[in-house]
Amino acid sequence: MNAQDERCRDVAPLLARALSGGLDQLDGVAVDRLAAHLDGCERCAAAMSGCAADGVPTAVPPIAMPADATWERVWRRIAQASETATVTASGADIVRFRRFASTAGLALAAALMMLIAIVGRLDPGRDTAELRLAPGGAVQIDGIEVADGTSFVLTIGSDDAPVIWVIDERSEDKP
Amino acid sequence: MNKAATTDVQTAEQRLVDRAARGDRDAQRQLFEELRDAVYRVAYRLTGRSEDALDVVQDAFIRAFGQLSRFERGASFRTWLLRIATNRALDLLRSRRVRYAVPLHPVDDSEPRDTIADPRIGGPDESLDAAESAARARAALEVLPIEQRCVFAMFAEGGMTYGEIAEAVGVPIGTVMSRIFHARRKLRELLGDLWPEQADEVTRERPG
Ligand SMILES: [Zn+2]
Repeated sequence: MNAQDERCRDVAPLLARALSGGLDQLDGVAVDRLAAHLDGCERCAAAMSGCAADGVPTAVPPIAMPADATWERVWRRIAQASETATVTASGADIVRFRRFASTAGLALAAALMMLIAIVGRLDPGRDTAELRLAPGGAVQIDGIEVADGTSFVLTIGSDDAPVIWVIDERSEDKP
Repeated sequence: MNKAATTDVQTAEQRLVDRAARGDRDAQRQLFEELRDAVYRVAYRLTGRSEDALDVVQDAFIRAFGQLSRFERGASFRTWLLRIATNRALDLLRSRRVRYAVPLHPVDDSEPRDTIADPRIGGPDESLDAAESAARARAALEVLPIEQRCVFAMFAEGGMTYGEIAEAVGVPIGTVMSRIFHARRKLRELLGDLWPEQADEVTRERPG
């Protein structure tokens, strides 16, 4: 038996316990020891890999789910934004959303109103407006620098707050 | 679920993802309907607000559909989507201290608002209890370090395996296990009185 096998054998009772649903009955020191071993042992990690909660209740109360009408509205916006993004992004990664922020909120709201005034009204009953920043304009939305000619999509969020979608080249969610 | 059934599900998902990548709106809708609940639950546990969770769902699907053409065949769309949603929820948490929603128009209170449909919530008293429990759960989750909260949300609400979480978060499986353990221990300590019958939670090995 090599040294690795021996280390595996040492933690085998802990691993068996964790695999049979007894992780919570172990103490913190034992769990830390098992965790350290799993992080360095592919074989034991593979054994743990398939563990899931699978419908087992958690210590927190269940979440109330949105009504069908809410889901329908969310879907409509996804479909609309995806369509607009396809047209607008033309090769850019994808859009990201940013809501107004409080300290910058008023200034941004004012900027937005100007944009709407320049580009077109957001008609009542219409959820989405596609906007383009006017020449000479530049605003900062939650860390995204938005310069001349940047495309926006404006939608109304689930709580009636404006949500700005900005074409963002810096995607960190590569598949 | 046995191995063959799991593979069937993965193949069906892959077919759906292929169609969605070609811009098939029905396929995109089907993916949305199948996965929205899991994404919402994970986002809700992270943000603690229904509006934020819905925004995260919206953003995650838009991002995912926008990048489908480059989605790696054979990878789990669900895992990838939940990773995107988790990143978005974390972005939201980071910006929350300055977050403020400005309604474009005054909200008309006479207009009926969407109700939250939960068959588990009965009469007014029960709703009050449920609201109080939900508030306590939110507060308890906020006590957890963010990396524990993330992993816990993926595990408990996203139905993800240790392996899937490890892949999504980019940490080894032992670290995932340790975070889940410590998160659950803390939550039980804070919320155990609410659901004493659930004190003996177990983790089940999913046949793969
Ligand atoms: Zn080992």
